[in-house]
Amino acid sequence: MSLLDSEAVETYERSITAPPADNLVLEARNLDFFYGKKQTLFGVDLPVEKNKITALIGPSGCGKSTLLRTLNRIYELYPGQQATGRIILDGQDVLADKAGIARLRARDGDAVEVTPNKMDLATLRARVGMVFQKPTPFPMSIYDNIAFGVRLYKRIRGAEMDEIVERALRRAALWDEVKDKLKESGLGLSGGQQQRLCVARGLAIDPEVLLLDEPASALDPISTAKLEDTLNELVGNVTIVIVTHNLHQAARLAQHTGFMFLGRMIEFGPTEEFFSAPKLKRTRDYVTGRFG
Amino acid sequence: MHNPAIGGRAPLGEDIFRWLCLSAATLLLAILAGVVVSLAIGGWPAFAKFGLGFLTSSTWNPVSDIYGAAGPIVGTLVTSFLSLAIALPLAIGVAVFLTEFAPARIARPIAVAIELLAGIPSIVYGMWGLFVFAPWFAENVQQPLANSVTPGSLMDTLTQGIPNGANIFTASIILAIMILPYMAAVFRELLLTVPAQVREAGYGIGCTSFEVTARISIPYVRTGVLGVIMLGLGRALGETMAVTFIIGNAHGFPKSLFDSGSTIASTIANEFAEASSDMHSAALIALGLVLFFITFGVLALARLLLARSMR
Amino acid sequence: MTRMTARARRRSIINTIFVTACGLTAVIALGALALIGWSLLTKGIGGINGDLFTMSQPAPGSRGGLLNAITGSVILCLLAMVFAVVIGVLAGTWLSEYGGRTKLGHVVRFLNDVLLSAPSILIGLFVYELLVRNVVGHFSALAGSVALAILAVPIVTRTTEDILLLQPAALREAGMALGATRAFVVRKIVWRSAATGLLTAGLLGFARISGETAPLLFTSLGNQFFSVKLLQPIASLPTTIFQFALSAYDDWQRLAWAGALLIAASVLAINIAGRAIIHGKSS
Repeated sequence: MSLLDSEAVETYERSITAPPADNLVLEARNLDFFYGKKQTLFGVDLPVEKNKITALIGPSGCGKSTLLRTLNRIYELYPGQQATGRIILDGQDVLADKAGIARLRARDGDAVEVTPNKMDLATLRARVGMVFQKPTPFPMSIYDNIAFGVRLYKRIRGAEMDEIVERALRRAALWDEVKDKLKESGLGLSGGQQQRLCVARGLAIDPEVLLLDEPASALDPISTAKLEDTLNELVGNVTIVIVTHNLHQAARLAQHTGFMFLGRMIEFGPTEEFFSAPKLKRTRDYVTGRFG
Repeated sequence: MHNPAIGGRAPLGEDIFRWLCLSAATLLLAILAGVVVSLAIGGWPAFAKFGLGFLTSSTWNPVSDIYGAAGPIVGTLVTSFLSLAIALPLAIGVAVFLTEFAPARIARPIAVAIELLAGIPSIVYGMWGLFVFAPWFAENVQQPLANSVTPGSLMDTLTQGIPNGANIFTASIILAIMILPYMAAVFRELLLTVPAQVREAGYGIGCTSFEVTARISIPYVRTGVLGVIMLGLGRALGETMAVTFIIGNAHGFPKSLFDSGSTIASTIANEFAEASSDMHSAALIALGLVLFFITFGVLALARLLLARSMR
Repeated sequence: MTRMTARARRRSIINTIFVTACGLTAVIALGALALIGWSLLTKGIGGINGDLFTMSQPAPGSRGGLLNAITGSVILCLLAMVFAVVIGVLAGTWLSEYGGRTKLGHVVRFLNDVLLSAPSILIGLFVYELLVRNVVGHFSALAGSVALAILAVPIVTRTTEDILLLQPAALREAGMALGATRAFVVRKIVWRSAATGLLTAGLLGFARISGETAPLLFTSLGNQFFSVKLLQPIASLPTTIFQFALSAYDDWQRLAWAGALLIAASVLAINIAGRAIIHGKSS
C-alpha cells in the first residue's frame, strides 16, 4: 500500500486524544468544508484546550489552513465556500445560523440537537482573532494599527487607549522596539516586527482564542525565534491555535498537536507523545520525514 | 466589549455604503443610456423625414433644409482607416525599435517621451496641422503634383483638389500623428510582457531579429495588439479637433484623396452652435447617433474578437 | 569560415531591411512629434508674457491675455474632477469589492469602456440636451463641467478598480478578522492603502480633460469676459484657442499659439508630476 494511497484514507484510522472536556474553549466536531462542490475537509474533530498552544501540522494541501479559517468564519468573505458541522466556542455553536443548521440537518438527520445561535460574525471575530501568513500592517501609524481594533468595540481615548496599546505591544514583545516611534507608519517596520505588530493588534481586543496561520513562514530565523518566544510567553493567558509546516516549530511551541492529511484529522494528542511515540503509522511516517 | 453599533461594525453603515457604490456603478449605465436616448430623440425628426436615405444621400443643404449623411460618414470612415493604416506600422516599428534594438540608455527616455506625448490634447495637433502642415503640403506636395501629373490618369483622379492643404489626406496624416504615441506606448508595453526566455529560445535556434519579432513576439501578444488597433480606431473615429481644422469642411462626397471633405465630428462641431433650423439641428444630432453606433460597433467587435481569440 | 547559403543570405537581408525600417519609423515618428513641439514652442513662446496671465481676452488689435480662459478652464476641470472622482471611485470600488464578478459587473465594465472611448462631442450633445436646453436654459459653466465629468468618470472608474484589485486580499481579511464590516475595511484600510494611486489617477484625469474642446463647444460655450459664475457661459482655453485660431486676426492667432503652448506644457507637467509620485512611492 502506497503511503499516499488516497483510497486508504477513506477508511483511515484515527486517533484523537482530546484534553479534558472541561478545559476546552473551542471545539470543532465532525466538520466538513466545501469549495463550491469540492469537499476539502472530511469530518474533522479539533479540541482546543484553554490557554494552551495547539498546533496543526500536515503536508501541503492537507486542509490545516482551511480548518483554521473556519474557526473565525473568515472564509465567508468568498462566495461558494461553506462549512457544515459544529464549532463550539464556550458552549455556543458558531456555525448554528439558519443556513448552517439546515445543512447540518440535511447531513446528519433531523434528530440532531442544535441550539440556534444569534452570534454575529463581528462578535465571533472579536473573540477569535487571527494573524496571517504574510504580515499585514494597516497603512497607518503603529499606534493606530493597535487602536483600530479596539476602537471598533469601545469608545476610548487618551490615556486609557495609551495603556491598552502599550499592554498589547508588551505582550507581543514589541514595546521596547517601537515605544519611541508609535506615530510612525507600521509599514516602516521590518518583516518580523510587522508580524509581531499584527499579533499585538490581535491581542489588543482581548480575544479568547488567537489563530495563527503559518505566522513565521515569511520571516527570517531570528525574527522567527523572537515570534516563538512571544507565543511561549502568552501560554497561560491566551488560547492559541497555530498552523505550521515546520515540525520542529510545533514540537517547540505546542502542548497539543494535530496531524492532518488530505482533509482529515488523522491523529491528535499531547505533543510529547505525538513526536516520541505517535500512535499511527501514517503519523509516524510524516514526523520522521518519510513523506511531506 | 461587544457593542455592535460602535465604530466600523454598524451593519446599517455597511448597507448604505454598498448601496452608494452600486448607485455610482449604475449611474454609469444611466449616463450611457441617456446619451443614446437623447441622441435618438433629438435626431428622430431627421430620420423620420429622410428615412434610411439619410444615410446614403450626400446632399447637405441648410438653405433648402435637405440633409444627407453620406459625405460625413464616408469622410469619417476614410480618414479613420487611412490614419490607422499610416499609424499602425509606424507604431509597431517604434515599439519594436524600443524593445529590441535600442540600447536601454536611449530606449527608456524615448519611451517616457512618447508616453508623455500621448497626453497632448488634440487641439494642438489641429493647430499645427492648419498653420504649419497644410501650407507646407500645399506648396511641396499638391502644387508640384498638380503640375507634373498627367491629366486623366489614375494619379490625376486621386490627387484632384484645391491646393490649400485642407483635405482628407492631410487630415488623415494629422490624425495618424495623433494616435501614434498612444498606440506606440501600448505596443511597447505589450512587447515587454513577452518573457525573455521565449525570445531567447527563438534566438537560440538561430532566428534573426525579424523572425523573433514577427513569428514569436507579435503573435505572443496578438490579442493585445488587436485590442489596441480597435482602440486606436475608436479614437480616430471620434476625434474632432485634430480634424476640424484641416479637413476643409465640404459636405459632399470627397472625390479624391486631396479633396476637401468632412467627418461627422467636424460637421457637428462646425455647425451645431449656429444651426439654421430645427431640422438642421436634428440632422446634426442624427449624425451623432450614427457616429455613436459606428464607434460602439467597432468596440463591441473588438471585445468579441478578443474574447474569441482568448479561448 | 562558413559560407552562407542563399537562404541564409536572404534571411539576413530581410532582417537588415527590418531593422532599418524600425529605426526609420522611430525617426519619422519622433521627428514628426519633434516638429510639432518645435512649432508650438517657437510660435507660442512669443505670446507668453505677463499680459497673458493678467488680462482677459482682447478685442482684435488691442492688448489682452487669456486670464478669463485660464480661470475658466481651471474652474471647469476642478469641478468636473470633483464629480468624476466621487462617482468614479465609488463605482470602481463597487467593481473591485462587491459586484465585479457578477453578470452586472461584467456589463458595467464593458459599458464603462464604451463610455471611455465614446466620441467626446457626443457627450457634449447629450449634456446640451440635458442641461442647456432644459434645466438651466442656457449655456453654463455647470453644463461644461458635467460634460467633462462624464468624460472623466470612466477613466477614474477603471483606474480605481485596477488599483484596488492590486491591494492584497490579506489586508482586507486582517481588517475583517478584527470584526469590522466590509465597508469600514474598504474605507479605512483599502482606500488608505491605495491613496497615492488614486490621487495620481485624479491628476491624470484632470490632465486629460483639461485639453478637451469638443464637449465644451455647446455646453459652456465661451465668454469673452472674466467670469466665475457657474450658471453663465464661461471661457476656457481650448474653446478660446479654437475661436482665435480660426479667426483672421494675427494677434488672436498669436494668442491661440500661446494658449496651445500653455495647455501642452501644463498637461506635460501634470503627467510628469503623476509619474514622479508613483515612482516616489515605490522607491
